[in-house]
Amino acid sequence: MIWTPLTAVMVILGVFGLALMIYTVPKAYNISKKISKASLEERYGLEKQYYLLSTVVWVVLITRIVASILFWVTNESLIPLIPGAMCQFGVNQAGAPYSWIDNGVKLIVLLVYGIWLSLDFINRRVKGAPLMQSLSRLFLLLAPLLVLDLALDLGFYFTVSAVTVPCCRVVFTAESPIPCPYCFVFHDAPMFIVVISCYGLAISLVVWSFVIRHFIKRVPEIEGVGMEAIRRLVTLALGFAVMGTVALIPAIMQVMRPAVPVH
Amino acid sequence: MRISATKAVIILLVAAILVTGAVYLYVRTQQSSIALEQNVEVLGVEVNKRTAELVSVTLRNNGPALILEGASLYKIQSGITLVSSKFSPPIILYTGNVTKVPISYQLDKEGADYFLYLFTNKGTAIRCGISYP
Repeated sequence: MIWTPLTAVMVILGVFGLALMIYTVPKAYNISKKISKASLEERYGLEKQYYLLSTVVWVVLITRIVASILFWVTNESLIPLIPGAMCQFGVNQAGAPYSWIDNGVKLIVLLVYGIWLSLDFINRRVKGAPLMQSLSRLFLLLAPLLVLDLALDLGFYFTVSAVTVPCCRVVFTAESPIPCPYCFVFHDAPMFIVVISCYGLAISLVVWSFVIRHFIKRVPEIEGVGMEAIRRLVTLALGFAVMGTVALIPAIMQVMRPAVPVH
Repeated sequence: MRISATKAVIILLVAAILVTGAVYLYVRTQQSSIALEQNVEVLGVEVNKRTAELVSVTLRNNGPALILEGASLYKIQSGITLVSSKFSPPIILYTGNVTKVPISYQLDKEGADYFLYLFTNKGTAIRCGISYP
């Protein structure tokens, strides 16, 4: 393991998330199992349990979303510490195989965790918490991804060491039809980070709005709050998409430098 | 016709993907269409390893005299021309002579592979492959 402030933060977030997972999963299972047969009094007790669970899950999911952003920053900071690494490709080589799978997982965490967070946001605003059972079940469905996310982070940062690695130059040569995505985005055309982030957020917001729409059909009690949330999410998504499009102009300028000197 | 916000997001996303792809293809095509000079031999490339700066390129011209008008540095891994500049005054490569061409381009400290193009008055370019470190 290479200990730096950022890798230490990633490990702490991983251990913290794992500990909270161990606390939340049995509680979510308990609620999802008992809620359908619960009496009014039991339901009140489960509702109180659910609010505690929901708060903890918010903490877990928000820390995982923060960790997914920090993941790229941490990997970038490790480049000078790994001999042979010229970009994040080399860092991933040093932490293989966990790193490669972790890269894929990190790309979808915001989208997937956000579904739960947006539904819970609506649930908290509707009297009687009508989505309590669905959200407990959904959290249990998310649990494998969450465990994978946490385990991969811990596996990766405990595996990565200062070994000499072959970097992207062995894969991306002059004949390659596509560039090294890490060199391209993180080093030579960094405006694409803004473009990708904005479009990623826009897509996530649209997907969350679709999921809310689906739940409105199943649970009509959330219609009022749900429709308002959809309206806001879609407006925000459009805002991010426009921001991404605006950022695309300077991003393209970074790529379009003339091959033949003009000045 | 009224377009919903969701559709607008999807349209913007698809347009962005198409535009980026088209620009990248254009840049690659522009790059691969550079005619290479056959009569000039690259004898050496000098790099300051401490500062990761390209210092000079030594060339021997085996053909008729040429004028070097400018240079550009293309990073192979990202497929992007990082920097380009014109020589002022232009550099003359005389027949049979060895010429050291001073060039001051910053390379990535972490390392990468590059093509340095030196453009001639004939519309051709001398290409030097640089692997740093």
